[in-house]
Amino acid sequence: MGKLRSRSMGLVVMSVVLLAVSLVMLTPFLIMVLTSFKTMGEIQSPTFSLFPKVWHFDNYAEALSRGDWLKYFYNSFVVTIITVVISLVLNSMAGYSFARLRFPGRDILFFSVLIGIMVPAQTTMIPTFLMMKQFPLAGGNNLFGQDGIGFINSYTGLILPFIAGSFGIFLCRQFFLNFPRALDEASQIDGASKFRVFYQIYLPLSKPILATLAIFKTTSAWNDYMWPLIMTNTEGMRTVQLGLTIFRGETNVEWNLLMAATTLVVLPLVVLFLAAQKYFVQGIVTTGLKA
Amino acid sequence: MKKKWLATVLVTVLAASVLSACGGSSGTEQLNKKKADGSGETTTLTFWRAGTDAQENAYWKRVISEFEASHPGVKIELSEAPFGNDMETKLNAAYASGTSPDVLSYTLASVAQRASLGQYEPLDGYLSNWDGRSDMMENILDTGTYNGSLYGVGFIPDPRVLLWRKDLFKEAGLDPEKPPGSWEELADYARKLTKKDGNTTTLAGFAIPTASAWTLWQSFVLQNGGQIIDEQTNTPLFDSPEAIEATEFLAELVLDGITIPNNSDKSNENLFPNGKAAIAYDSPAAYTNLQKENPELVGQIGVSGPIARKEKATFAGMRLLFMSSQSKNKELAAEFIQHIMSKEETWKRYTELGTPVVLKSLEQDYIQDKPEVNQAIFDAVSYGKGAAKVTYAGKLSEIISQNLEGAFYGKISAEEAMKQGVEQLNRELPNLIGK
Repeated sequence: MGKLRSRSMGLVVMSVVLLAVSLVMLTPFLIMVLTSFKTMGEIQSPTFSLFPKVWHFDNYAEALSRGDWLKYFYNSFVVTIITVVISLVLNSMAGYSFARLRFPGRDILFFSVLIGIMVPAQTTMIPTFLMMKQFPLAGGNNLFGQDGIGFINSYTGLILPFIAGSFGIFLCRQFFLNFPRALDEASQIDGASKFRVFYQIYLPLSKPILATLAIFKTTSAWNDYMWPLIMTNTEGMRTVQLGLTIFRGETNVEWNLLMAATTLVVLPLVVLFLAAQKYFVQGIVTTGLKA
Repeated sequence: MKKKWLATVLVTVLAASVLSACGGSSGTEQLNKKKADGSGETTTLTFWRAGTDAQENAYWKRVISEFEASHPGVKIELSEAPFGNDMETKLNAAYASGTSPDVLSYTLASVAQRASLGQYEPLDGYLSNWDGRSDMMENILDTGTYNGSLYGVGFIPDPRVLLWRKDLFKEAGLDPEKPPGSWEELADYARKLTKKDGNTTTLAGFAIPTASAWTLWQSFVLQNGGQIIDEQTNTPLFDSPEAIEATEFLAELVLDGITIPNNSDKSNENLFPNGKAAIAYDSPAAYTNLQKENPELVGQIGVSGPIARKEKATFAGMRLLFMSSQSKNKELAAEFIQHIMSKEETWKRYTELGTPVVLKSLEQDYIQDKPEVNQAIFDAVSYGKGAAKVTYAGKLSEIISQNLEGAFYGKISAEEAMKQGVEQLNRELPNLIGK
């Protein structure tokens, strides 16, 4: 009886702690949403109030009228969807190969993939940019990558560098390592090719890891700021993150409009996370990413 | 085996075709020239500007459409990036790949650094026959000159003027029409105007940034007859008695709690336009923005030239037009710069963006338009001084700001802060100049 009571007490304490942590995590989002309904005068007021005195829903209309948001969202959707779909195919195949197949140089190759995780993205940004600019036969380039602009200011330039990725390969490999060796042996006895084993046996069992990777990839592609900034040059190629800079002047920031636009920009990610939450948690647990 | 190869090839072809299909029309654009129709060619000029705000974006779109209308066969592509590291990264990538813009609107701090790297084109040859050159204010031309050559044409000056809140002056029993006339008066007014809740300052009597404070500090050093650096010999001069006295003056005010901690690099922390300061040295934009967001303050903000002590001086930022040395359309780029600098366009810029004028012939029109504000701004433009034109301008301001912070928080004295700063800079100069 006493054991049961102490266990339920433990549950109550844990619930309270988790509730408090959730509140801490949610507070920035709450402030973002509430700020989006305030006036600038209210935001700048020396006395802080959480809720707006008057709810200015028109901030959203004003924010959206400041730029071609339809185009920015379209660009972000195109870039994100294509990046995620191709990277899921490539990463899962690479992860499967590193986990389940034996071939010469496998460990060295995997080690070189791991290096990709260790090198900060900033250091490879300009070399990658040069590769995109000098891509043969693209954007007016000749065979040697000269005379044109390559993939600069194009969807390809925004997608290509991100369709593979060390992290995704690593994640998939860890997931595929969890399967018993007997599964491969049984498939071999049945005469299935390696690709068929991957496609018909492993892939249907990989929903958690694909959902997890899809969320990670979507978040990074959707939220990427620096790469679209240097890669795109025209307003028609702007993504949503670049669109948000409209509200930043040299000496002032229009916080209410920025927060309104940011709330709208964050929405697709929230919807995606809620839809894939079940698989996401499974994926985190099975790949050992949980601390 | 065949099937396996077929699958591999199919996946590769699929991926390649998806990528090439989403290349977008702009991906196939040529660097400079492309066929507009069967009969002729369109020349594309690329123009980048630092800044992303909607108001200036609308201004540039209007300028570009007018220029294109008067230059058939010319197309100008506008690209924008926020000030600071964002634009620096974008420019570095562009120069490294040979895709830098033909014309660039950028900061004074970039002049020495990018001109010395050969990234900016000297403009003297292209503007030698331009009538408008003699109409430009001498100090503005001087601002864009480096090692004897004109690299940038200053067109958006951003001088710091003395701004004060008349409503708060009245509240504190001060004459709202009389701004402080000396440093001593400024300190006295600031103490009277400061509001505190316990030990926390809720209204700054005088807005002093506690981080990245070098621009305000520079105004005070120059007013006191001091210098920052000898640009010719790379000798730091900010440990002089004049500079130390100016630092002591500011540090004492900060230690007295007359300001609210803020970083001048973060526009959202800027005290005066956010209604959190009674007096400030700030840009004319702060005057406009405060009234725009708080209509009840219209007519309640005073503007005057900075306080004169030994010298009449203030900090003045400047945006300049540069031409890239990589441009393949230099004549056309020069023509675009001349168009932007024309008398008509300069006046339109003032009416649309509130930008102070830089042409001598517009002085009277500008002042008469709003005498209570524009006289002070024009004066500040005429004697304002911006960042030092040295290749290590960023490091110089970083060292000064770091040491100022030490003095502002009472960790070291003003004298130690300046001497330490000079020592640090002297230690780093061999590497900085070598770059």
